[in-house]
Amino acid sequence: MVFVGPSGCGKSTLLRIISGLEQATSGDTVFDEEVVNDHTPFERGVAMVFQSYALYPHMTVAENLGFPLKLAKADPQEIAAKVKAAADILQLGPLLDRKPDQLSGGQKQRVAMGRTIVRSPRIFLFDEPLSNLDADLRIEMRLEIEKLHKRLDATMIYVTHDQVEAMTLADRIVVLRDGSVEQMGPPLDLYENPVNTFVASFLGSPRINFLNVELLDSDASSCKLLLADGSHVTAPFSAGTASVGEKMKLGVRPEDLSASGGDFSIPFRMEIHERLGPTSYLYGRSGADSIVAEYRERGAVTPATLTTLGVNSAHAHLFDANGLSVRNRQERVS
Amino acid sequence: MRGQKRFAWLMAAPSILAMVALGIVPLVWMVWTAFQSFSPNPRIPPRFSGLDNLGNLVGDPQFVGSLKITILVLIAALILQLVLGFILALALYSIKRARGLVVSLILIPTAIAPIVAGIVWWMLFNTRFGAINSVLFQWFGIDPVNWTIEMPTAYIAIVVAVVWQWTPFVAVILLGGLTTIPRDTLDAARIDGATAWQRLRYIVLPLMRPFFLVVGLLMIIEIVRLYELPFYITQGGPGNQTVVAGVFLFKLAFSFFDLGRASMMSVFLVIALSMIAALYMRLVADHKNKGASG
Amino acid sequence: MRRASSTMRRLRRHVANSWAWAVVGAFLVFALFPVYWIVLIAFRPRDDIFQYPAALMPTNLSLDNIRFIWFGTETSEPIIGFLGNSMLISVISSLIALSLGVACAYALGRFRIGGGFLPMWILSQRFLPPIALVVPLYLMYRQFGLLDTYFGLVILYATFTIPIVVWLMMGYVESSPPELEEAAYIDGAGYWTAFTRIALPVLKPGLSVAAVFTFIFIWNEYVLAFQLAGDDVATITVYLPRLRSAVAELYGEIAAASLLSVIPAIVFAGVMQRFLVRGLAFGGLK
Repeated sequence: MVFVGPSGCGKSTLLRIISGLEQATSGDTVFDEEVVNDHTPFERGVAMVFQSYALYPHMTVAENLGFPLKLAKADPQEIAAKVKAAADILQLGPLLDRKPDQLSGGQKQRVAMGRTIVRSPRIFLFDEPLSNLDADLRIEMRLEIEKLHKRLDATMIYVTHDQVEAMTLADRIVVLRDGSVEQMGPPLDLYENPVNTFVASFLGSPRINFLNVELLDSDASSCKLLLADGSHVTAPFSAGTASVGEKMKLGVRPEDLSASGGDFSIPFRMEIHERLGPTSYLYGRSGADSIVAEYRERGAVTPATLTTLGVNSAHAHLFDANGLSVRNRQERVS
Repeated sequence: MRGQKRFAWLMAAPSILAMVALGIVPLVWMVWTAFQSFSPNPRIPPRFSGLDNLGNLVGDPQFVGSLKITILVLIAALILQLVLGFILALALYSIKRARGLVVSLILIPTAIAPIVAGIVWWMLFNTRFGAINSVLFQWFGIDPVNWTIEMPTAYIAIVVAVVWQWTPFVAVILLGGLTTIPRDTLDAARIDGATAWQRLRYIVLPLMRPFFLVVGLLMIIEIVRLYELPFYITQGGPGNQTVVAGVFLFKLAFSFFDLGRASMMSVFLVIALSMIAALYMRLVADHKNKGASG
Repeated sequence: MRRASSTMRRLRRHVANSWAWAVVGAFLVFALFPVYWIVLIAFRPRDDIFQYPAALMPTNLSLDNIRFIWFGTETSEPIIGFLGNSMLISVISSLIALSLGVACAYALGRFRIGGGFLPMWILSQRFLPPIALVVPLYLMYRQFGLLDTYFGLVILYATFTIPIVVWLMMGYVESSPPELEEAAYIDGAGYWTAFTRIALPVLKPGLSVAAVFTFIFIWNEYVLAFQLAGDDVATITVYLPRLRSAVAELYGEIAAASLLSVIPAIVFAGVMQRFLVRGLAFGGLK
């Protein structure tokens, strides 16, 4: 399960409350129907990987890995065996006698993960573990974590602000903002059916496009929208309970805009054409709103040749004045 | 950029000159005098006497006695300062509110002049009118103790005053050291199941080692140099039993006017302290080397 | 059973939090009781002082002790002169030591002159007990007529506190980024301008810590002030023991004088309090 959200939204705090490092001011923390509010972290059976790795600087890697077992007064042979097992899983064998200041970032991260494996905990907690690594390492370690998840088949709670990590690693995502849960569910579900503009714009890269529109008319199967430049479009879906004259946002992802086709068109004035190989991105404006569209055909495009974009209405979203989706109503969980 | 070295040397020059004029020159004179014999008669000029002064000192029971009492004070005071200082540092570390104010208040003993502290503790330990005996009598029904004119109470009085004056300093330095331990590391230990004692023993203390060494060295130097504080509490008494090294040195120079032996004793102390400092350097370097092994 | 352990856990947490304040409280009492005592005795009438057992709480209030030291008698001069001397000497010596010391620390920390030897030598100057040097200094001063002069004491104190300033400031200098000055060089500033306008402001917290240390150190110094001065130029630390060698037992007066002698240092430290904790945490702990 991944908690994702912008900085300061409370995801790390939530993780620390779950771990027992901090106290909640109200409500209960429940593991498998057991209330653990006053339990220490150890009693809850959690293990945690920190953003800063939090390795014990004066101990060797082997001692770091074995520390939790040593505290539990385990048999030295048992400790050695478990340390070796964890080291094998994460390829830490040759590093066992080194100290943390002799390790690279990725190696430190693996030691931090190894320390959690040794304990066979109920829950694994990850607090933005990849934020301190550079881009290539991040991808490599992300795969390691995924493999670990499959291999151990354990409950893992992962906190990050990176939506790519969230989308790839999660079985379920929880999107947080300012301390509240915006939406919860499987990644694709949140991607396809965001309940509000925040979730819609948080997931997906490049970000979803928002067009400012005004509702002119609506019935059960279609609605008429006034675009910023004065033109009308008729969209083949209902605007639900929105009222006429309401200022709304039409959300369309770049991949759902095309040079031709689509269920209805919006005017488009192209400014920049960024080519990245087989795919390119068109940057421009529709009325006053900035638009990014994906363009999969080869060949040049000029502002003269392209004046409208087609919208795939099956994947279009309409958000009312409060930012809530008209099509995807969900219970807001707080 | 050009002229860098010149600028730097110009910046440092005044300081260096001052330290040479008022530091090195007297030092050289002192070492020179250490090898001279001075007669109590000022008319007779001093004569070169090699290591006679050292021989005299070593054979002098007063000198040996002063070393003994200095070491006794050193051991007791150092242990108390480090232990109490560390406990205080831990407590200060746990306090979030008003920490700045508390630290300023707790440092007041260190900010008081040693001579004032000596006189104040002399008053506190005064047999008839002092606060200590007053508390002992009114709260515990104990009869007045002749603190400063008997042993071992005079020794205890000195140790108490030294601990009083320097423990806050030790605590603040150790507090600084505690703040260098990353919170994440302690949190990780909590999650791994370490109790407060275990965190202290396996994480905090090993990481605090360099700080203990630094503050220990500073305290050793300070205690060996003590003069005003012990002298103004006990005047060296009873008899000469609390004449610590600093006090004895003073006596040699200004009561007996035996500059030769006084200088020799200074040289002796400086060499002893330098050896301790060198030992400390090696311990710190040792600690760093262990980190890079394997 | 579950219920009980939950309350126990909460109790455990409460105990853990309050022990720190108990310890700090105990230390504060220990640290400040002597201060309380001298305040008490300073304002206590003479007859009440000479009581057994000494009263631990305030009894009667009397300003006689203060009057004695403030206005002086035939045998004892007013304290204000000594306080003034101490203030003058401490402030001037500190300023000199801070200026020369920070310049030296800057030269050592930024430009690394003198190899490893120079910094080591400067820092090792701290280890010399002033007592050891008193005699040669006395002879030197007598030779040059510096005995019992303000100038003599000031240059001495400044010189002896420079190593402390250097010791403290080197850490701060090393941890402040050289990029700031480099940007100034590019803009055409000379070394001196970069130092005074760019580096110094950044070093302010460290300088505050150093200022407190040197001021208090000089204010509290006794041996040199006594041996190398003491008549025309007498500091407060020299004044105090004189009260004790008088025939009468001047406990109250001694307490009053002690009180006045520690107030400036406490005030100074209190003003600098904000910088102290932050400064010490970053401090040049080498």
